[in-house]
Amino acid sequence: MTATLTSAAEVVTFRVGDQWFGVDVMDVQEVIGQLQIALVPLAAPGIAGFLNLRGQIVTAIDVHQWLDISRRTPEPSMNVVVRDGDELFALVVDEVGDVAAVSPGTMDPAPASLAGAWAHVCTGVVRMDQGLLAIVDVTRLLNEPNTRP
Amino acid sequence: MDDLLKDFLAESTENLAQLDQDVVELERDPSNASLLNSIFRAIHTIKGTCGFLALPRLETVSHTAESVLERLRKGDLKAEPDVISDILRAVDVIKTILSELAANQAEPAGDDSLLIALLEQWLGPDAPRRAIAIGPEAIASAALEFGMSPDASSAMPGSSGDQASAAPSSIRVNVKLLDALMNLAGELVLSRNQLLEMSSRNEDSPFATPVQQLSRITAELQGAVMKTRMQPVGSAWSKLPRIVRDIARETGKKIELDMKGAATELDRQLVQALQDPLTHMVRNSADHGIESPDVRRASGKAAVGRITLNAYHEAGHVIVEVTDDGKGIDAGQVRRTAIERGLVSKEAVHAMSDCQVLRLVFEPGFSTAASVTHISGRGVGMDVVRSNIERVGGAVDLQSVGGQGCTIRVRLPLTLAIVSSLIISARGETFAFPQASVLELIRLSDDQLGRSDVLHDVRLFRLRDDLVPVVRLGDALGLPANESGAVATLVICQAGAAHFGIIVDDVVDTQEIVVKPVGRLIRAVGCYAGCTILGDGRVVMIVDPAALAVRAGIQINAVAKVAAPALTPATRPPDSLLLFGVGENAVQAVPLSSVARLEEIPSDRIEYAGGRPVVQYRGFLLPLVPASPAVTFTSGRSNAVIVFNEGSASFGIAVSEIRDIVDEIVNLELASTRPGVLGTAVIAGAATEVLDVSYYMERARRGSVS
Repeated sequence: MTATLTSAAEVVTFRVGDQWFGVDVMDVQEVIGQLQIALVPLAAPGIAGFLNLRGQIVTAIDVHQWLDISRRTPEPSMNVVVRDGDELFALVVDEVGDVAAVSPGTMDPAPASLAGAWAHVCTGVVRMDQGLLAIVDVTRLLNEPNTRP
Repeated sequence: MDDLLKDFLAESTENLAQLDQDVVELERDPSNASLLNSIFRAIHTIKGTCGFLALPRLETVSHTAESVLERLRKGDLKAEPDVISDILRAVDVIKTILSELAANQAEPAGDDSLLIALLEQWLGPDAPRRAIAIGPEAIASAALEFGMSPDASSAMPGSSGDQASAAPSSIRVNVKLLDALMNLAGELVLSRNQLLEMSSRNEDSPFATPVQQLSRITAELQGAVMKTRMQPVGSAWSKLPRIVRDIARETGKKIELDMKGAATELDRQLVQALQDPLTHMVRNSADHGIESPDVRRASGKAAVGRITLNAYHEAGHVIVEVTDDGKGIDAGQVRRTAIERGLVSKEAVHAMSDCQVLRLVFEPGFSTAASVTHISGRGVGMDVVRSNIERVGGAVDLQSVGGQGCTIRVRLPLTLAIVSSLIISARGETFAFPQASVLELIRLSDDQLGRSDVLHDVRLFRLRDDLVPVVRLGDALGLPANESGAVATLVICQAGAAHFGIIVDDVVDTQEIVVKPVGRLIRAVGCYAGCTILGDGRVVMIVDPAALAVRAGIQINAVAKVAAPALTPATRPPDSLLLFGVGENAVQAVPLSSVARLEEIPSDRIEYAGGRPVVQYRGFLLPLVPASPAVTFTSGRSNAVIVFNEGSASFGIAVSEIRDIVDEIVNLELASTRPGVLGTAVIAGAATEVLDVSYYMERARRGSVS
């Protein structure tokens, strides 16, 4: 799998469970605190529902469930609002970190041993102080048919 | 694209839409000088600009057409159908070239010499008659060469003809911008609603007055933005006079097209959605409805047929009617065709009223045209008309009196963006139902609900004389069960011709809501028509009742429902029926005449051959088929078995208990949703499934072979 970041870029980092992720800062519209999420019955697992972002409907994705990450003790969530095409999505995460600069030089390709959904969405890893940062492609993440291992 | 070219294309497109109408009008009113002048000006403008832009082909065609028009203007020529036809041909070629130009920014290659020859014959000194001999074949092939496909006129984006000529006080605005404005206004309304709710909580807030003002301005702004999206329905009509005229010429008919209420406004999205169905209906009327002048005279009508389009507002909807005074639709013919195509059974169709029969033309796979002409009857029939109209929340109906014509009535909502809806609650969640699909609301006590019948997992509610399948919204949406109150509300909905009920906890409110599309990940669920934001900021889903019903396993079979009231009691003697229980409390029936014997067979006599239950019975093996998986053979008990004979073979259907034998007229109210069942009827006051004995026969036979 090849990395989509071909030149130096900045990523917004966020934590889900014990894992840190990074998404291209250009894909991120804003970061907001906890909002009321309206449940959508019958929606696929991992879709938390809809939230109302200043009158715009945003589909909220529970990244825990979406990527099969076990939940630590309940904690207040944050929303990373990303844009894919014309549509807005909110990634419901546990904590939002700094914006980090990554360059192709510091990034390793995603390990070949990754399975299922992870192999599809992860384009590379960066070694950081707090552990490995998984760089995630937003478009792939949102078009992941959510195959569970 | 070069700006000059872009402007030229935009301007010409607008002029041409008007041109078609004007030329046809001119044929009817040859002495109308101002009309002639306006046509001349339009062609002249195109010709003039061609010179600047170096478009030689377009210039030649428009120049020659202009010369013919010039003679008409001077009175050297009379505006007869032949010359008008040639001018229309030239207009078509101009359109084709322009649309190519828009697509490729270059004039397409092509030879117009035949068209030029046609036009030039009108320029000779003795022009009034055809100066050069051109047979009908040559004209036909010329028409082909000119690229006059039936779609030639639709290649140009429709533009409002009425406004084109009176333009100075208006400007062109990109449609995308209008849509964006609409969205923003919708969002503003939602924010305003939130503010209003906040300020209503504390009355002496200093914000109260400004918020009131903001509210008023927002409402006005929304109204104004809505208006920018409104278009006169006439803009969907501009192509019709030409189409009718061409069909009349081709078929030798005389047809007048009358258009009323062209200024009636509705959302532009709806105007677009209306365009194709309308064209189809008018084509149908002209081609199949209106008779030839001889036939009309023979039946005592005026030689000139009349097609009337009428648009008007009625009760918050826009009605568009297409009426013709042609031969109408023959209900007998519809009956025969419906049977031929296998749409309904012979018995069913003959018991239907003429009105019901006529609606069959909207079923897929139906076309009454005895001959398929190239004008209509190309496989896209009235079913497409209906589905297109229904897709935008409209409805279509048809009335016809044999020999006197036909009226098709289309009912459309004013706008797609805002719908009236019921806000309902189910198990603590809130949803919206589009009001257009709701027929009635019924308050139910728990008691009443308990008494409704359950048949094969489908709950049926007796609404007056009908059995209506019902589903709990909470169950259908998989909401976790909770303590619901003692009362519930049954929402009776309609989809196509089928009625069904959805049980909700409560109806909270009715509201005009702004429909927002759902994201692509939710769209896959399929039972939501969109979502909206309520005044308190909550997002709620708009349920699509028809999709929900299908999801819950309720068959929406329009034909079966239409055919249902067909078996009227008076027509048949009552049948003797054997009623038996299956599982807990479901009741099924078979005609007594098909039953050979009733037996009680102890479970220990039942043996298994090849995994299938059999019993030794009168010296041979009798295969047993359970009437439902709910029927089990409990050891130590005896089992009720109904024995059927078919020729030399016999088989038994195992049931839970034999109930009764009754004489009753069977009206199958609901078509079957599973094999082995003919349908459901009210028998002895309870919803009862009527078994298809031949299905079980087949299963027993296959079982005994394997």
